[in-house]
Amino acid sequence: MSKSPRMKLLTLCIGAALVQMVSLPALADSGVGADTVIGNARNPGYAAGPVVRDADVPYVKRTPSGQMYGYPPVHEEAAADGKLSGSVEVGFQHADDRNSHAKRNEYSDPQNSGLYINNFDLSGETLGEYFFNLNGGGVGQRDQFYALTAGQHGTWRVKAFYNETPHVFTSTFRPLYINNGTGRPVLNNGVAGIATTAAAVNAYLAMQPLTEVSLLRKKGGARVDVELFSGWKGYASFGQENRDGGRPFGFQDANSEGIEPINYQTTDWMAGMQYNDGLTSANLSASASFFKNAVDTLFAPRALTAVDAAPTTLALQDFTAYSLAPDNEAYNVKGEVSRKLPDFYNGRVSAAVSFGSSRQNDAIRMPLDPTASASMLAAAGIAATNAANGAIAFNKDNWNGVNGSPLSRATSGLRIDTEMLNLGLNLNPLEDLAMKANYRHYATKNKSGTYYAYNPLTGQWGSGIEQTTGVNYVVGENCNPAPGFAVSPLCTAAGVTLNFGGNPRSVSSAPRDYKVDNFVVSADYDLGMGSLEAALERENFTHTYRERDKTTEDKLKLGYVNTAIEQLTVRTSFETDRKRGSFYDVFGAGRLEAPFVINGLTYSRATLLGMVANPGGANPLIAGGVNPTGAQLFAYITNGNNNDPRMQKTDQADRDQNIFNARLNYLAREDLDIGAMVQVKQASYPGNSLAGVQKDDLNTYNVDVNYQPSAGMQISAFYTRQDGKTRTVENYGFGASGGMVANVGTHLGTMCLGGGVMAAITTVAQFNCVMANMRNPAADVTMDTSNTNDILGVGFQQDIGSMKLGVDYTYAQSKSHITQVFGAGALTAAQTTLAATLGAYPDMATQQNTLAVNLLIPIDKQLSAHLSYSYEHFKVKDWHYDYLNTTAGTLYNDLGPQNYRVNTIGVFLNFKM
Amino acid sequence: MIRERFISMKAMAGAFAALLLFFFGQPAVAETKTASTQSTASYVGEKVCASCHETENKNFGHTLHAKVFRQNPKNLAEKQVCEACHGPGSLHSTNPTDRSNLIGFTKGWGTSQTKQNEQCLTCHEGGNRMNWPGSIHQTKKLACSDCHNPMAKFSASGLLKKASITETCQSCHQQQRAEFKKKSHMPVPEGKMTCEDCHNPHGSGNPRLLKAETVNDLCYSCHAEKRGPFIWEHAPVRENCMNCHLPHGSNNDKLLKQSRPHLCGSCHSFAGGGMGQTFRHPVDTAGPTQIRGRSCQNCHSQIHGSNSPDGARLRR
Repeated sequence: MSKSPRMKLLTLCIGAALVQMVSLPALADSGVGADTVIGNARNPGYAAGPVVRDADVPYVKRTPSGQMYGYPPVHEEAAADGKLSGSVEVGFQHADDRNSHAKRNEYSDPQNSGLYINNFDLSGETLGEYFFNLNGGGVGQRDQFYALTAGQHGTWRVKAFYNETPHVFTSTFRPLYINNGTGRPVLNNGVAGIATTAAAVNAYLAMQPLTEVSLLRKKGGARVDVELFSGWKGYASFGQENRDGGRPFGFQDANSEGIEPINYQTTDWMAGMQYNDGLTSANLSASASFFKNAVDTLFAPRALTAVDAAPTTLALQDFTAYSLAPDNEAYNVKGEVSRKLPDFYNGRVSAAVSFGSSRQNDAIRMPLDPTASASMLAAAGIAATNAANGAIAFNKDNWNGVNGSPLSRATSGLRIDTEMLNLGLNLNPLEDLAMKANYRHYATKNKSGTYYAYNPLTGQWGSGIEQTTGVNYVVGENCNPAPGFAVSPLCTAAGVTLNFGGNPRSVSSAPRDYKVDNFVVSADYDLGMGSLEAALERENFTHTYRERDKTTEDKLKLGYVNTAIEQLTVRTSFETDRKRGSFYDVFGAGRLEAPFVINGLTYSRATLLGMVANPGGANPLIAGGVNPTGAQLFAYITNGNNNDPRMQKTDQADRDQNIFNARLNYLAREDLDIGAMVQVKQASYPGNSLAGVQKDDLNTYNVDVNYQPSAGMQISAFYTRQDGKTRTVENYGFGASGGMVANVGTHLGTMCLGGGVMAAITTVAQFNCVMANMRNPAADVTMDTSNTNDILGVGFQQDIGSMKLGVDYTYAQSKSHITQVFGAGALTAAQTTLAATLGAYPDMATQQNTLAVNLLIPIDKQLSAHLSYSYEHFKVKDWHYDYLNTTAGTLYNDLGPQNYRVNTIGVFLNFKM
Repeated sequence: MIRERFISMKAMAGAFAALLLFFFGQPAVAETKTASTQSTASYVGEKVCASCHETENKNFGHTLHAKVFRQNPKNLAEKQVCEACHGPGSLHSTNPTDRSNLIGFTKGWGTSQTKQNEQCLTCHEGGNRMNWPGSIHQTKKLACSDCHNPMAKFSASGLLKKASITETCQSCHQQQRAEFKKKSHMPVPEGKMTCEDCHNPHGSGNPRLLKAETVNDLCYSCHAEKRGPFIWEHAPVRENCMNCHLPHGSNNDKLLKQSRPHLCGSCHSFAGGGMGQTFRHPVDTAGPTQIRGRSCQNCHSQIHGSNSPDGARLRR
């Protein structure tokens, strides 16, 4: 291929300009840390758009697996002898829709109008082997980035960066609050002045402008890598990220949504050394991370309460107090070492060990807001004579910190240590046979101890005063103090007076631990025409405070790889897994949270209803004199737990799983690749005979075509389809949904007593019968969810004379469809009628078309023009945000993701030094 | 209990110390790697190579390898430039059609992947590649040059075969490429993350080539506010973020595996009360609030853990 000198010069010019854009060095470290790319949507590690490729290369070469490398990009000769090289791309961009759209702006900030510095770059190869590079992009935008790298080739390198990442949660939020970032947002004046009905407030909301709720991650850092001496390398890094903004937040009792103020700071330190002498390798690393949240507590004002007739004088219960993310810190030190065993079956042995610690010691907020006045308490109905307070007269100063700490701990005092051990042995007993054995152990050591919801001032147990509920300020009391405390002088009544109502809640936390042990043996045999691999793996997962002590999963993996065929590369594998576990205990005392002792009896949340389990045994025992009724058992179920061994929680459930993978690369022509990929994944959950996840399948199919006939023309296309199906069964117990407790006694009487009502359980046999009949299989609701995704991508680049045209188009659609089948006993007659009338669930769906056209026009040796056009069209249907009721006592502040269609044009000049 | 844990830690530390003694106690003898077919070959120098491979030399000149080898070589091998990787070229220069005379890194050349990788690891062994032997990519017979192209500067750094880390990974991992196109996804297409933020393609001692020891530790590196520990914890959250989230992309909000409230319902099969009505159809506007918006998180907004004295139900 011959080219005119002018054409060649122009090609070189534009190529040189582009190369400067391309020179955005990733800060990649494949071993440790994040921040492996510093870029944005228009510069994702390189400048998006056409690339000038080397026409002198006669044909593209292929990777060992057969994929085409492509024609190499044209690069300008490196600057040397102190000369600098660089470029800047600057221009104007205009969009016909300049509004914020949550899905368009989610992680990027496209300039919609005016001057835009897309990227810049400055490099130097001075003083021989020394170098530096400064680059950045999106200047002034919320996704701007800057990076500086300097060093001596092969000896040392320093990198520093600053990177901003927006995260837009919604652009259609209608705030009722003025979010002042302090944790004490206030109601809009407009809300305070209107009537208190939901309809009125919703009408007010409807008039409010839509606003964006987002946060901005601003992260900077530096890292130095040094070749210390022969075989030794060292590195150290520092990074700090500030997150500012807010995110939508559910305000529980306000029946509305607010904005959680975000003011986070995360500081990370890391250092390490690496050694290698060809026979032995070793890595040592240490890291520390510190997280701080400037807003500890969020006092959320309620827009709708019973006392909002005069909302400008809010009562205590007009606020809900939330404890936001506490400050925390984490440490880790890790050592790895491996050594070749050339004289022992050409083997290799390796070991790694690490220790970590995660700690949190934030102050725990007072159960009662210290700013709450007596009048606010009175307005909330909290008075000394309130029956819910039990026998002890209520004194707010016993709950707000004035009389001392009302908490069993003033600060969290939480700590979880971790340990990891990894041992590996690789052997090659035959030239064609490789074998491997590996053992990995990971465990957490929770050193937090149990937190007790106990007020040592009053001697009362319970979760304390719940602002906004108006009832159950103290959920229980007794004269038996939590461990480490003396009897409260206010305590006048002996014995147990637990008052947990129908909503038993934890009064002791669970310092959970888990441990995972993996054992793997594998063999790989070279057949000549490909290789065959087989592997066996066992994973033992043990927990504390879970329904199961242990699950064991066995995996058999078979694989076949052939890269020796001239025009084809095949990689395929099959895996079959079987997961089972120990006895699924739903009522063990201390099974789900730490037990505590009152009057010599061991209690946990379950036992608050009068049940005490037989530790380690399958048959729960009955506590003396406090036998549970069937209804009480059922009340516990309504607490949101799966108290039935026939409906195992998904992560602990029995599971059978098969996975098939196949990847083909077909070299159709010297300039044409065709790739195909299939993955079929099927999981079933045989232990969920009553309810829970039944099956979870996911299939993926992909075809890729890559055609590169010349340096001036490349075409690529792909199509991917993914379809998944999940079947979940929910069970609503007895009778119809809602208010079923009344029915359960009769049902259990029929099942366990031969008639009548199950009033109290007095024998283990009765208890077992109750457990086996706790839920009615006829009350099943079977839900099938199907998810389908189709993605089509086409890329095209063509030289038009000296100009470079690049076109990229992507089409992506998704659909999530839900069907429900109701058991005969699942719904009331009215609900059955309603369900039949409403029909199938609406689909959730998205459709996205994205077209990007770029044209590069060389003007002279230093200047080129870059014209760009993009079209984005996004359509979404999401039933979570449809059919919002504006008359019931609920306010919907977030309208969810919306459709958008945006055309953007840009005219840029690229100037090269 | 404390004593047992202390002993356990001591035992682990002791075992590791013993291993260190084993590893470092023996004299370090670097393995000599020379292709058998090249045992009689000698180095000819890069000028001889460039005399025939002008185009390759031009493109190679922009790579980091070229700069290090030519400007600041650390050893004799690096001073050989082309032959540092391809081996001594004297036999090849006299008989260029016999491919066994040179180590090649492309399909069809004939050099085995094992030999190719050994050649790369001569310099790049250890460090972040310590766990390459036995890793999934090594087991699947990938060569270093399936991802890297040291002969031209396709990427700003890393000598990748594509312009970026993400494009390089997605040339084989098309499923993940598709998942990043879903409604909710990590900011990979937006250029704010790459696959290597989470995975070490060169092998790691952790599951799924993760750079951290657990999924959660990895997630905490960017989501430190969820690290806790919290007074009141949600057990599956503490054990594995992927119990609820998909790591690459999802049709549901927040990378969730299922839409809310049905995801929650897969473990908490609600009975009675308002929560028992999650079957309700969204068109039924009189239905409970937990169908809409953030569903269960309308109330359980502290689903990742609560530090409130009232937070046992993850609502405060």
